[in-house]
Amino acid sequence: MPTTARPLVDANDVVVPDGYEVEAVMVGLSLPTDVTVADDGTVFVSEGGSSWPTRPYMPARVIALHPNGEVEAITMNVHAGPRGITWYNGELYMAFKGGYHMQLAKYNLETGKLTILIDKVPSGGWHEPGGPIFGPDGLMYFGHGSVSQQGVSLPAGFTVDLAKHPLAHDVPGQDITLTGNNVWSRDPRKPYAYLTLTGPFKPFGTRSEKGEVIKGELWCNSAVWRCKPDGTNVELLAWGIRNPFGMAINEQGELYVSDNDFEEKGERAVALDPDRIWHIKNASQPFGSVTTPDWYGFPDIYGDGLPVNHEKHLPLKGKAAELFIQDPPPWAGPAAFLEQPHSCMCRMDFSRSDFFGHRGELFVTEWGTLAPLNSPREEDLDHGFRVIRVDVKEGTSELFMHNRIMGPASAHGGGGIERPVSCRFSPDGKSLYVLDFGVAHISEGSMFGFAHTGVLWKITKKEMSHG
Amino acid sequence: MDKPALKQPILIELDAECRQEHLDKVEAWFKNVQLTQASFRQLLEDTVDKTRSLT
Repeated sequence: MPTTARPLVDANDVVVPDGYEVEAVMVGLSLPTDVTVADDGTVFVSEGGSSWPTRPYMPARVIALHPNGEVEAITMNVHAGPRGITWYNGELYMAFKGGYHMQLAKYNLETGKLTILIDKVPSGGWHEPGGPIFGPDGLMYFGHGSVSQQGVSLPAGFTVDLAKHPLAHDVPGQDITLTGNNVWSRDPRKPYAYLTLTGPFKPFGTRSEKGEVIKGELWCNSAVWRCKPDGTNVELLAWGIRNPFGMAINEQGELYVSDNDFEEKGERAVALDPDRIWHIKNASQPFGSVTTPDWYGFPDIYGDGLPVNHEKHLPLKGKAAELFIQDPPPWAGPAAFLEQPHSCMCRMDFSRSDFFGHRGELFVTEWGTLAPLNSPREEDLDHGFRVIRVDVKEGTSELFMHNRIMGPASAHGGGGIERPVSCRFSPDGKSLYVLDFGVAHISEGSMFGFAHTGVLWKITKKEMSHG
Repeated sequence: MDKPALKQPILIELDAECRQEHLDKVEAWFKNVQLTQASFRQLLEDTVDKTRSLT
């Protein structure tokens, strides 16, 4: 390949179970975020793009690969990047991130008409939209992660997000009372090394007071909602989910979301927090009947249910976290599945096919660790970089796709996978598409993502021979 | 973008012409970053001199 960051792409370096074969379908994708497949077999891949001055410009677009092999790039002239895409009833539904609000939209390929369905979810920070996806009930499910990395807006996010959205902050889904704990940090808005105090659910540089009540909102973040396909009758199902990037609904209509662990660095550091998959139990309640959203713990509870200031989770690097919420709501855990810290579980899909196998199991992409940037622990350096299948009832997992040498291909010079970010089954149930974000180099102080290094892989169950 | 041969991946804008266009854009971006950083450095140096003259 001409891309020096990823000079080789070779399916022979990728391991899948016996009876399956893997091939590279598209190579050269830039910052890809999601994949979906239309009923006719057209494959859509979203590219996140970049309009921030801290990076070279990249177009936000969707690439369509038609069954006849033709490829087209769909540009929508939006100032935000498509993150989640899904094909439903002949239209492409998308989540856009890039402003103070996350937007949900649908796009008609025949007319080229883009319709914004929802433009109210508070965004502009670190974490990502989840979904949209559609359940067997015909409803649209979507989510959005927290603005803050660690429960409070801090300078670590300021280089890209808060500089553009200095008033962005987390919003709770229920009324909460604050402990009054604030966090000291440097103030990157000032030319010298000034310090400032910031409280939770506040813009950067705004302190909170003990006993202060923050009103819960329908349009909060770290949350999951559902609504009609036209964006009306919105219902808040859950909040307190740090980054519900992956969302999947099984054939029984049960909703599961992936969630990424706290980072072990900075002014509110949290150690050994497992990645997790939550069962969103409220999604099984009749539409319109959920009056109180469930709370899954962010910003005060780890994936394992312990409070963030528990001695078991004291950080080796950074300042230890303190609690933010006084008398918190009941915790909606435990998690359906816990994974190694910093595996970075991303998008996922349930197998609905006896032909492909493992019907009812959840296939989960793992983007891979950001250590040593966000963890000082050597054991975190190789977590992720694979696809697993999860039995959500038992809370167990098995490897499904990985390199011959574990870890990203760029770490050992192979041509296999780098960072799986999304996966989706084809409607005919024969194949699983796995979207590989491409190369991201991590150091103790920075992360560099490389455009034009993304790959779409396809895993197909081999046909049985009857001759 | 070309039609694919069987089992051959489709290359998205990796031909020489597209690569050169990408590299030209990145070069322009780097030059802009250099200009911004140089301007900030000059502003800082000017401010330091003014601060010294006040003390």
